[in-house]
Amino acid sequence: MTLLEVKNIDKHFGKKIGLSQVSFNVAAGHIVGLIGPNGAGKSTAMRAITGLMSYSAGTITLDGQPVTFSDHQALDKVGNLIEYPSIYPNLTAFEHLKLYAMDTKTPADFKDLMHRTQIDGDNFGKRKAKHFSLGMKQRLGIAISLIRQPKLVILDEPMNGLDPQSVHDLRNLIRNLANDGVAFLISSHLLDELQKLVDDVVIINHGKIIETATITEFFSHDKIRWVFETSDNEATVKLAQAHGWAVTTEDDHVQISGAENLQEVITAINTIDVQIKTVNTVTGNLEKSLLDMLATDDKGA
Amino acid sequence: MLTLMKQEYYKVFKQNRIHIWLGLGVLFPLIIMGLFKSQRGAGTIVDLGHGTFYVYMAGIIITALSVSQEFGFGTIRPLLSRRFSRGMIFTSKLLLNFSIYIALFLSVFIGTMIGQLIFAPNFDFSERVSYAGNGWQTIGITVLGTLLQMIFVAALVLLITNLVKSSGAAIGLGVVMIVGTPILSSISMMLIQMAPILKWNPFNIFIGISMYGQLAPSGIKSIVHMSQGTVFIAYIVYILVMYAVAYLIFKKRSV
Repeated sequence: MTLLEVKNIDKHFGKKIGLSQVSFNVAAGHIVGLIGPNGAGKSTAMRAITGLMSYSAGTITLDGQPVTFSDHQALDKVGNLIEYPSIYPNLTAFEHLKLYAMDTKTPADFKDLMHRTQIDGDNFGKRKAKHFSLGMKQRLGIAISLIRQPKLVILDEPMNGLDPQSVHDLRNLIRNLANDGVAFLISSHLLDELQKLVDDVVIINHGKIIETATITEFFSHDKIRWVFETSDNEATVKLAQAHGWAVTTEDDHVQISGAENLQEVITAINTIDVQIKTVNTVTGNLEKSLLDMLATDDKGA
Repeated sequence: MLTLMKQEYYKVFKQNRIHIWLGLGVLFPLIIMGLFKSQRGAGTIVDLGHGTFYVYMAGIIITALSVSQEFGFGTIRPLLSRRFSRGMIFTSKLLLNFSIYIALFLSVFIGTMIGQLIFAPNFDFSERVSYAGNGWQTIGITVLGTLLQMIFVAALVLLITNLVKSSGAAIGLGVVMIVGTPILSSISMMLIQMAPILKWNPFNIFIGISMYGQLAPSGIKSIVHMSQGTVFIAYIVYILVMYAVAYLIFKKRSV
């Protein structure tokens, strides 16, 4: 079921295009990664969805209700952390949750949320937020975004400042909430982490959506490749070309893709009496796929 | 609106420590009357131990912070990305500020009453102390006059804060309006001499209101070149315009 529907959104900053005909959906229980380079329009899109910024054309609906710059009723179902955690320096973590919990009659269980977002340790306690590290502020920001038990959570760079363990725990927290039906729209530069988390990706560049796909579909762009080091790389390249496989050379390695499987390639190489020294399989990689896609988009632009 | 007000009060107590400001409000007249024997007479007591100055300063600072710190801390985003309209949020800020002015007046009033009992026990509030009337009546007029000035300055401070998103400039202007009244008065008089129509300049109107309770209506008219009633109407118009512009900026701003 579609929870968030963004349809043909335009936003201009003077003559500069902020968003152009941006459309995508987020379904309940889905984790969607909003990906793109700096200045691509990720934060602008998130700010438009959360009613912080006006847009000149298009519609945004949340659970069927419109969200505009002046109509915010639907935002009751949304939690967000956009760009950086918004913290009152003299309040403790608990006081922040208490403040934002006043928005709803059914806030999340404080103790459980503080435990799940790891803001219940001795480091937090009665300490004021002005003494928190970046990671601690980030965790508090995430807890604040969840305190109202929202149906949709928008997180802009949620892994900023988090140590590997915290990133791992956050991933589990998001996945568990998604299993309970909460939808997430997440942007992050940590693509490896995002790759482990998201169900769908929305790629944005120069304010335009250039791809929306499930993560599986997205990786079909980037086929499995096998990297060989052989006794005769030149002969291996000729062999690959003869079979119609994609082949590139780099340093002492030959990279082959497009074959049915690795065994097919090894069998072919053995027929030409070339010795295989090493072989590595390179699987789909979000970062490489994204860079390839952005490069193609930039060439076309 | 009730939720917004609860949140505003929670923030003003936890973040801005308003209880400390109120405590200092009680202490201010006590310190003035306790330290200076010359400040135990009618003039000081009806001015709430000169606590009106404290209320003025504290009120302006709290007003400037109420919006500017939301921008400074980045908390403006969660504040505006909720189900509440910007109009409701702006109104909650105004109501909060107004209620704090009242609380500040109450705190200096309590301090003055304690100070009068300790340092000037023979002072009789029923005696006539000014053209406005007895001690109680003069206190009432003083509070009303100060509150009227505060609402004007607060509107200006809120307008500046919304324009520049910084409390520094707004507080600076507020302080100038408070302590620089004689300078503003001179500038205003020069402007009026240049062109009589400039009697409508906001400083002249502000000066007219600040003299409310201190001078008789005829005295005010000779200085600001308009009747007390006209000053009051112009003053209301200026306040409404400043609050309206401040609201429009707040409403239209992308964050």
